Amino acid sequence: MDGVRHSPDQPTIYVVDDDEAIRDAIMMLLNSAGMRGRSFASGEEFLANYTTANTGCLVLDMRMPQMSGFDVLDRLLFVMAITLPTCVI
Amino acid sequence: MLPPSSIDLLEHAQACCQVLTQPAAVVDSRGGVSDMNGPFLELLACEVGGWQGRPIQAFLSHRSASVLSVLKGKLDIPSSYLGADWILHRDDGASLSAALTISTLSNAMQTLYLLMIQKTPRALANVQREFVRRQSISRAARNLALRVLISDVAHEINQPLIAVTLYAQACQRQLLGDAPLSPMLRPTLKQLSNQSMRAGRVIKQIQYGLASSDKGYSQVNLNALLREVTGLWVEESGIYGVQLIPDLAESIPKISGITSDIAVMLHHLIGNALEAMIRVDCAFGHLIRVASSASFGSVEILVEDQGGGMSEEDRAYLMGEADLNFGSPMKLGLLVCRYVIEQHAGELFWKPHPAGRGSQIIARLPTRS
Repeated sequence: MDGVRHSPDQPTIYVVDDDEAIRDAIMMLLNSAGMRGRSFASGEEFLANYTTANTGCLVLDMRMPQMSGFDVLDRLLFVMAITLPTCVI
Repeated sequence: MLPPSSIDLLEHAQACCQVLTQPAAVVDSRGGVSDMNGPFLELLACEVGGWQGRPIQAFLSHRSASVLSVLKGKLDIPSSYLGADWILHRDDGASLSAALTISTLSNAMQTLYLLMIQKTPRALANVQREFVRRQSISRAARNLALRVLISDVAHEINQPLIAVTLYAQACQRQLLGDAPLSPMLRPTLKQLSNQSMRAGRVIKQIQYGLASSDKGYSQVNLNALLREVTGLWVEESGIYGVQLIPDLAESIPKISGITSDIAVMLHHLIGNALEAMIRVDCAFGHLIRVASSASFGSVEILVEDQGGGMSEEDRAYLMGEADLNFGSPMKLGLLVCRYVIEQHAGELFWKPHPAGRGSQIIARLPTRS
């Protein structure tokens, strides 16, 4: 978020939700708590940008068009073999 | 009003029917019409006779004037109940199969009855057996559709409420301690208010749909309906500085339709237009134009906004080019609009706003004189 500085080592909370208001609200809440967040509007966008070098956790919407949250988890766990701590919403 | 999920129901029933009948091909305009001869229609009339006294919709392929006119005569179905859909047919030399989807409306719930008619010696037995199977499928499909609808409604309301909760928590955090007020507080509070209003709009649209319950076809004065529905949105639009501009043709013909369903569609079209503008904070303008016009055999309604536009996915769904995926924020509205327009044998179009950002949604409804 703008105006907030985070340490490069600080874990990132990835927020994936197609609803802009939900993304924005979660990011604002994370920011107010001093946490580092990064949001994505779709599962595809998240998977394209995520690398295993990134630490953190995932807040994932299940009900999204195109690629659902289940599809994202499926790709993460069984295709990319990544076990990222995940909260589903 | 009928549940919008009846579109899903119909599609589900069609899929079931296709599996069960294993059609060789969809009837084309020549073969289909020529095969729809006396015995078939009489058998159909016999089966449908049991449903006399209830409104019946017969969905037929190709909108064949000859088939429709014969059906109307045979079944005594008001022309307004005849829509267009499909007929399946197989001619393997020994038997000719055709399937017809018939939907009956009862107590605001739609039940689909699929009949498979075969011109074979065991035709009636087959029809009865198939009828029982279809009823079973129909019940399952109806239950499924109802659950999907309830889930959709819950999702629509839940989304803004989640955002409200999160924004409120963010505000609380920003107000903690003795630190000076965060510059983020004001935009957070604004978002909180916006999302509360968004939840209210969803509920308002659902309430409007539930309150509108007439099921009969009548002559609908679209201009009067547009004035009424537009009036319902004036106050809320004003809160966001959005102006609703009616641009109605002086005189347009009445159309044959279900007034309450068309009103619900207009309600959603205007509500979605406002939503699209609020989502971009009215950055591209403050006007929603609602226009009506008449052309040969049809009437057009245009709702033009200066919002952020529609996603390709939503546009494709709105215009009937794709099925709906879960999760779209405007899903319920789209579902209702497409259902109503299909029910009235009309068309929906999306165009970009001629001046740049924004959308034009055009609903074209036949006058059916």
